[in-house]
Amino acid sequence: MNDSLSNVERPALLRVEHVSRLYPDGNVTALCDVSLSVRSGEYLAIMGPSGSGKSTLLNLLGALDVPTSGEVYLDGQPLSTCRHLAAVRAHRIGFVFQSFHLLPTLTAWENVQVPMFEGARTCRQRGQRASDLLALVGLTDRACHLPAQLSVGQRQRVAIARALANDPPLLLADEPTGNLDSQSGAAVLDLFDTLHRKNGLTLVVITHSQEVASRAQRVLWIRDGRVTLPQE
Amino acid sequence: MRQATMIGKNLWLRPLRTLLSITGLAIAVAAVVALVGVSRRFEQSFLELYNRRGGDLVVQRSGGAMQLSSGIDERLGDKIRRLPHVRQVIGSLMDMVAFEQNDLFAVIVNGWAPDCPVLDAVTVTAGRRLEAGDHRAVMLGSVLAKNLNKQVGQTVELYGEKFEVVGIFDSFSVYESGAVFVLLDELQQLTNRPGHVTGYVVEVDKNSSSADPVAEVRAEIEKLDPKLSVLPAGEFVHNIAQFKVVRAMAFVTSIVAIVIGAVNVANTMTMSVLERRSEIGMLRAIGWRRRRIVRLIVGESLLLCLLGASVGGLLGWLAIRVLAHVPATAGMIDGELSLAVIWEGFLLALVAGLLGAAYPAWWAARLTPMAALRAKT
Repeated sequence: MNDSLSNVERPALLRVEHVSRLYPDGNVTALCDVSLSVRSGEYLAIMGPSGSGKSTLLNLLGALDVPTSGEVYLDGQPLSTCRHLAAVRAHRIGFVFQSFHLLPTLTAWENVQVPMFEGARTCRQRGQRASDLLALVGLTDRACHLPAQLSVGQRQRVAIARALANDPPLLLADEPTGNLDSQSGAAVLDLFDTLHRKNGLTLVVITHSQEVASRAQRVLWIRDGRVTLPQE
Repeated sequence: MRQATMIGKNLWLRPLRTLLSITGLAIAVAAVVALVGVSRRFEQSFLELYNRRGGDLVVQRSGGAMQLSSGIDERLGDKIRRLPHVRQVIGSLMDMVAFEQNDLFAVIVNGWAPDCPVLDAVTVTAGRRLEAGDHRAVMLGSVLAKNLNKQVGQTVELYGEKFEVVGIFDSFSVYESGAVFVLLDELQQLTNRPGHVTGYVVEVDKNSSSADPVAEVRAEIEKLDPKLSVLPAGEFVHNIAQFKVVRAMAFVTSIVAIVIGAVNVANTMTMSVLERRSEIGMLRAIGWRRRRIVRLIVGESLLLCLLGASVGGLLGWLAIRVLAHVPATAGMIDGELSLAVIWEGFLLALVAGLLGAAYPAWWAARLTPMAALRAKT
């Protein structure tokens, strides 16, 4: 695990204070009194066994879900007071899913443009931005291919380009290499490294893999809905 | 890329479902376009008949639901002719016969007086017009002659009697071109309505000094006999019982078509939304607002309906063209279709599209990103 001292100086992009998430239907406490902060430009990995609550935490960080108690702050703004969470997700957060979730009827170039409908870009600007992002992830030559015509690694890179479409400061990735072979997985992790180092992107990655976690500056462990440090 | 491209591709890359939905909608729209088109054209042609012959007022026995069966004394014609501002009065006895061997079940028979101007208004294409003193003689409209395969000199059987075809004529009106003309007195005798006509068409002299000569003549005719119905031609045509039945049928068919179309679209779009729950979840997760999801679903539905309406409009138009050449209907349908009816077909399809998309769009918009992302496709 790497640790960059320079991040300590930066303000917290994400702050979680005493968050719990209870699922009443199953009477399950997925998260219990979790507090953490992610500084701007930080690369954080969250590890834990299945059912430990790490995906629940990611959903709360990504404004996909609301906590039963506690508060999540993005850039100092409490998400519970935000009336338009969709707008927060569109412009402040990029998502990368384990199973890519590309639209099968659209080409790679078109898939990258999908989040940009929720923005002020013109049609031409959306196209140009998508081309630039596909170039960034090394898929210019696959722009006109449908997801079914791409390898799984290429699909995930298209999904990363899509996550960056609205230039969000925060990228959340849920098991981004979980469906990839080792070579494709390494390519995706290299891309994350580049985005973090060169673009200053804040990355929060959920993973089972020690190899993925080793690329991050900091690793949080989560077990039984509680955050622990590895040494604990 | 525009959102419309996304909508189009969603349909294009699911060809079977799209094709089946379009087919269902097209059949519904075709049925409406054909039926409403025929009904409107029916009425329009009939009105045109009066307008082009200068008919301002139609005089009939009041209270009769079926105009063909009503009868008034033909001596009334002379009384009307003597009224001020009246330019022309045409009396006619109408009946309907069938030529079952030729699959013609509703052929109009018109009985005209030998000096009736209608006999001069039609274009005789073979033989001659009916003359005073003709006995068991008929003129056939060109469409009817073609359907019966009759020529001048041959005979047709009417009311169990043989009639010689003395002339074949053409008319701007599809009704007249599909009709039989006989002399009035012969038709009165054959139908046991001696001295009676079905009604009178009255042309008013509009250059007269009266401010409203049509209203004046109307009032004067009503004074002649309170049991008369005197209506302007447009109103008369609109109130013909048979047209009312056809209009009612067209309306009911349109309602049924909307319901079938909407159910068809609702089924298609609900299946589509259910299949794409995780896609919708992803769209919500990356920041799409609910209203954009609604726009996507409604857009797909409307595009389906527009395609269905286009195909349906074309099929309806073709159906009318074909019916205009089928002997059983050729004398009633002229093959014309007004643009307004096609627009109505489109409008109906759009209503079906909106109704059909309402539930799936509402359901999709309510999906939470998390629940939708967890869904198995």
